[in-house]
Amino acid sequence: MKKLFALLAMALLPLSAAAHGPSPQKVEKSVTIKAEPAKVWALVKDFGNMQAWHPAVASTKLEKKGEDTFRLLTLKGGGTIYEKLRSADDADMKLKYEIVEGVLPVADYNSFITVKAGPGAGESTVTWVGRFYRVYKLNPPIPPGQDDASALNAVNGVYDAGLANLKKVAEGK
Amino acid sequence: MNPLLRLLGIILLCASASAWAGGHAYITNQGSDSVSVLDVTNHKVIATIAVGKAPVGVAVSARLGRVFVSNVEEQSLSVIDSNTQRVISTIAIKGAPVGVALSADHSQVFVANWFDDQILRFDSTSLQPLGSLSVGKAPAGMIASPDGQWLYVANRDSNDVAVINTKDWNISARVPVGAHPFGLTLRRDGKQLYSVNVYDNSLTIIDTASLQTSSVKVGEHPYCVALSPDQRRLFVTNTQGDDVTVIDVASRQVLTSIDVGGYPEGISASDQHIFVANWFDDTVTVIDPDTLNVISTISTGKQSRAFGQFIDTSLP
Repeated sequence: MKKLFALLAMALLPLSAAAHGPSPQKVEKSVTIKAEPAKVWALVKDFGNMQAWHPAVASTKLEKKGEDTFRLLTLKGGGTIYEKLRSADDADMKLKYEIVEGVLPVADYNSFITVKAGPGAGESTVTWVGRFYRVYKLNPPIPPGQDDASALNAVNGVYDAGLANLKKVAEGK
Repeated sequence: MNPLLRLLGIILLCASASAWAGGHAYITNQGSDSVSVLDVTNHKVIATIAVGKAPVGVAVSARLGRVFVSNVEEQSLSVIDSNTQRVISTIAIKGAPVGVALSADHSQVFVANWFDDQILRFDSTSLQPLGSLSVGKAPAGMIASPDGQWLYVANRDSNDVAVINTKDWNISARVPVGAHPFGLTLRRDGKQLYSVNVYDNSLTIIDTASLQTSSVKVGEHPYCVALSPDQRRLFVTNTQGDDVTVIDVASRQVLTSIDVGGYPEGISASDQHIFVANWFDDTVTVIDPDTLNVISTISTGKQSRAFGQFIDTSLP
């Protein structure tokens, strides 16, 4: 967790999502939780309460702008991430969102989280998927902290820590 | 005719048909630095070719027996011999080569150097550079008119399509389209051009004679478009919808959308089917353009992109 905070604190400049590099990166992580899918989905879909399950998030502020829903995440290690809700589909138990701007060293980040029943009875499988680009849009030489590895490390860190704690919270441990 | 000569002629014809690049789809795999070669008839991977780092763009020439692949992170263009399925040459291209296309007569290959806002031209046989031109910001998809007169370029960050006169390489017109045009395709008769606008979730239809436009809403974050072999339907990949929007060309109405793999990017048609490269799933989906059913899913390399015309259906 400390490593994750350090990683996020490395890039405190707000990053533009408009321009991105040529090669998208992906991260896909899954966890099995011993709790009913409905219970897990209730945590995941609650867009304005991410601090309830993600250990790096200190507080979440929900914002409505017309039809659109946003959240401002304030991180425990410092810095913020501003995200837009794309959709929260109860039938498929799928939440889609994107980063508008924030401290993660990524560009053009979009993501979804799904909750599925199984593999065992009363269990859920949560999958978190992200597609994004490194911060530096041009080709090498790439400034430190703006390369593909930095982007992948940060997102891997966020997903690993988040899913591990979501499991704890949902299992009531 | 001498029966022996006739027999020889038949043998030669068969030999060239079996090596015909039009029978193959060339899928660039960003994550495994390779190209998967698919047989478009039996839907099997027949070869995997190592290329440069993070290949994205592709253009196939059956008549040259060559395939051109842009390796964006390596800053190079790989040239593949489609008879042997081997890389025969690699051209260094400083910048960010993404889009690749051929001239109408296949004598030239064009490479869009995304971050330098340039199109580079090469002789497709000698591979010598022929020149470059500046067209707009972040040039992406390109396609040449069948009469050889025009080259169309989607300028992603200028939100327009440049019409370039290939006689003098001057820009003849810039047609405003939707936000972030990326993929392009053209009718075989050259009369209608289609641009996929990523940020607008739309397809722009351009009448190439009048340059009048109209647009059709498609799915989420669309990238590329292909026409059905009979030219009656358009298929648009929606990267964030994990589906393909099907449009009836005559009525300009959306007929349906077809679920494919995760983050579909490149799309091309063989003389029978539509092939879709799924970046997230490392697969290619094959669609029947008439029934609109998915008929096959083929495992490829990692992070398949296949940006460009990755099947050449013209006869060699």
